[in-house]
Amino acid sequence: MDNNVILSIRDLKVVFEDGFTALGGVSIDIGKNEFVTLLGPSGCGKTTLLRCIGGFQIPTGGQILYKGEDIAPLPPYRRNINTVFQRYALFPHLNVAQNVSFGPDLRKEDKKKTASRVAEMLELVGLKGFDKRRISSLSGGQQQRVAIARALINQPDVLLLDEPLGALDLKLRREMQLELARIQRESGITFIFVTHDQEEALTMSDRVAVMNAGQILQLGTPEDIYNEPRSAFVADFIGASNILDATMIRDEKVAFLGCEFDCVDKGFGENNAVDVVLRPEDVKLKPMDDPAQNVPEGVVESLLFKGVHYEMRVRTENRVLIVHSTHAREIGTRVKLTVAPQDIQVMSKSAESRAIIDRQTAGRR
Amino acid sequence: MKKNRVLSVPFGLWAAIFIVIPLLLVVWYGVTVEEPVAYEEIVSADGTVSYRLENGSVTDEKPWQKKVTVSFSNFRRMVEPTYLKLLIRSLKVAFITTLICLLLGYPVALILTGKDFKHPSLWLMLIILPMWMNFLLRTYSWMSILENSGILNSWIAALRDKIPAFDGWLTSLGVGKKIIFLYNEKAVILGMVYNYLSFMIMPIYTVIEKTDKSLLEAASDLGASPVQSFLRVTLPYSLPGVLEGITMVFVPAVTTFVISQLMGGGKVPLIGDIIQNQFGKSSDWHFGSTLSLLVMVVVLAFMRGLNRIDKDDEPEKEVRIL
Amino acid sequence: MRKRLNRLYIGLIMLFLYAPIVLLILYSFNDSKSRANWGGFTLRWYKELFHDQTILSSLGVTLSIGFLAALISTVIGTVGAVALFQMKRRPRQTLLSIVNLPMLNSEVVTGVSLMLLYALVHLQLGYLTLLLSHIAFCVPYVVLSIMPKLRQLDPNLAEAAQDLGATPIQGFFKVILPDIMPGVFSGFIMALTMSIDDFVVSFFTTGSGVSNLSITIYTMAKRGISPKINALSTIIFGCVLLLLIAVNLRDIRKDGDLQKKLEKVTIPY
Repeated sequence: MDNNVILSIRDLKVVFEDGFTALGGVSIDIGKNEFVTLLGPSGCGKTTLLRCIGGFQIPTGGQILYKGEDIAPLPPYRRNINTVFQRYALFPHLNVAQNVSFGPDLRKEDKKKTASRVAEMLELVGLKGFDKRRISSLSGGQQQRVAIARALINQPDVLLLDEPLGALDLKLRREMQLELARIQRESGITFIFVTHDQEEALTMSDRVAVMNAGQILQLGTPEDIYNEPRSAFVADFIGASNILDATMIRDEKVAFLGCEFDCVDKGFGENNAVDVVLRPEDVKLKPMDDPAQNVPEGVVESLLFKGVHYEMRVRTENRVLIVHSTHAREIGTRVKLTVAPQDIQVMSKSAESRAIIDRQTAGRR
Repeated sequence: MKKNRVLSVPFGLWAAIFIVIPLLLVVWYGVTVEEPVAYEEIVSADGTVSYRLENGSVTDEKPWQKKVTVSFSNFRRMVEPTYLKLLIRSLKVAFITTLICLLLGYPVALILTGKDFKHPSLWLMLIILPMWMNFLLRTYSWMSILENSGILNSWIAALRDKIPAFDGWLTSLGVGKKIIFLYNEKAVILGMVYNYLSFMIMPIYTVIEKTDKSLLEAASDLGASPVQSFLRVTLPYSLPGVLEGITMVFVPAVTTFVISQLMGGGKVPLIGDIIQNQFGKSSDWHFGSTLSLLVMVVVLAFMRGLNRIDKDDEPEKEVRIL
Repeated sequence: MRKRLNRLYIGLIMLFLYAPIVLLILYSFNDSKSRANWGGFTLRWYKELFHDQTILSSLGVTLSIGFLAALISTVIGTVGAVALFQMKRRPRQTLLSIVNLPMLNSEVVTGVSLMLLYALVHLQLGYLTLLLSHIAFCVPYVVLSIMPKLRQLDPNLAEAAQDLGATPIQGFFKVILPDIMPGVFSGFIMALTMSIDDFVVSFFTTGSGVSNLSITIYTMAKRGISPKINALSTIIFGCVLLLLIAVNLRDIRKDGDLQKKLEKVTIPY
């Protein structure tokens, strides 16, 4: 076993009493000091996975190896793992300092030592001097910080965060994202973070696990996930706006929008149906007198100024594409579309492809 | 997770012993009667008397045992005019009481939730305060005012002595020296209204108070007159409170026997009096249980009718507490 | 005009509610054998009251039953509410409607049914049966006042406590109980009130000469009116008034602060 792995989840299954399969055999290794994000839509099993690790849900199969020992049947209070809950679950009848010292007090640790640890933790989360405040007098972001301090003071090896930023407004979310990344770096604790917000997942994490229907679909660095989604679902979930039906003619040759393109992908067989993803910034618009041959043509339908770039909708024969460019073209302009071979991401067809492509097509009529 | 539900066992057991079994006992007593055991007297030649029971055994002692048999004869007895009349009177008295409480109480709740009183909660407390006195004492206080030699009669007598014209007027109306206020249905109803009025006011007040005030503002913003916004907003929203108030007044009113005995002096017996009698003087527990069953059915049917919508606002999700 | 009418109406209702009580109090100081006439001020009835062993012992029964029943039913009711809350929807609804039965049923039926229970197990009617009965009809009210607090509870609170190292029992006493305490407390007060006020259930389930205040007053009132009862009412009313003022003084002050705060917030100019 890899020495660096702190938590190894093996084929974890959770089937609820009503027969619903929340986790259908999930495996993932999580390393020391790693920031791993479980990303997926609601009901995908990410929270169930987190609850299994925290001890709030007993899995119906599989193992959770923590430093090599299976902790799956242990109750939460016997695990050196702490959780930051979605709605914080701060104890309303205790003040900030009492909330933070809850764990040490339970273990009957030295009061003086605890007090200085509390101060240290409050400083780490940026709440110095808030000791005596009532929980109800704190803002959402401050409550969030108390919840983190309350968990970190126990010096857990792993901190679980269940959509902790979900209740905050956008500005505060951004702020807390940076805060969390900083706290993780400074404390050196493994963070397992659950969210349904892809931007959040890509910004903060070392690795992202995209989940759907009780399975991990893809596990990788944010760059991997963003640049090389392995299925239409992953691509769609992280916000890819151009997912197209395509045919893999042979290795390094794929056809879509009625034309053939060079690409870098291999191993999809010959004349097989596949999906391709084109990122909006990778589609180049060329004037009609451009020398490029055998490329799709289209008409600019709409033009939006988005700050650093323009967003255009270009109607081709069978599909409207979203294109980002720093160079605006007038509505009604006829253009040629080109894509560089390395910018074409080819993926195998999956169960969700049809629905996703149909939705993207229908949304732009 | 199963072990989290371990508490429900002792609690369920408690509920079974103190709620379910007692009610089942009422049902059992209600559908059975008790009869003396049948026996045959045998006088032997030497003059000693022995008794032969149905099963053939012979004893020297006179059988005292009674036997319990399932019988619906008590149900037949229950629908005899005597008892039916009592039930109808009980329902009538309870209905009038509820109506008066509603008519008196609703405006109180409405006014107190309005803007005319600075400390509505203080006033509400003043309304509840008498309820904290013993139920018997509340009833007793009216007795001491209204009884034949009570406070009211003595005041009227004093007035008659001082003002001859008043005396003459009363005499011309045919009013005797002592006016009998108690011992009739009106007195019983007065006693009930006095005892139960707060039960009507409280739930209505709570509901109206909780109603979003901006709804009223929205209504008047949309051009509703105060009367219209009352009819269209306040009234429908206060309905749950009204229903609860009705239940809280009607149920005790229909079964009380204290008020009818103290204020009615036993002249206005209600169904509750008869039940009490069966468990006291008459000592026919079986018939008493039959009547209790009747009361139970009437009350539950009444409640069913009131809250036809069965609402459960508890979380679908399981929440761990232990 | 409307305001005046409203105030007049509330005034009349108050008159209706308080006139009998005020008269009762007034006449408790009346030195006259024919109770209706005013014969001067006296404390005679109070003296007699304090020498009436029947009344004093029934007062003792009322208070001891009240506190014991309230205490025990609060414990049972808290356990019950937690148990109910953790059950699955179906069985929970069933058990909850069973527990609610005593509240829906009329007191007569509750009293009769408990009396039959004691007869079944040959339990001699007396102090114990009285206490058991009072517990029985108080528990539903305790459950009723705690359930909403449990529903308002942050669903992760108990998990958070266990996450931080508390065993389920520690978690309950350190986190859940303090949080639902207002409900537990109001359940206790409600149980106490119900128990002290009860007549009907007590009437059916006591015996062996054990009688509480309600039953004693009932017997006395049936025989006729005694100024001693006036004196007793005055004392009880005084106690209740003091108690309510003490309990609510704090709330009213809080209320006032709250109103001031609200005014500050809502008036924009």
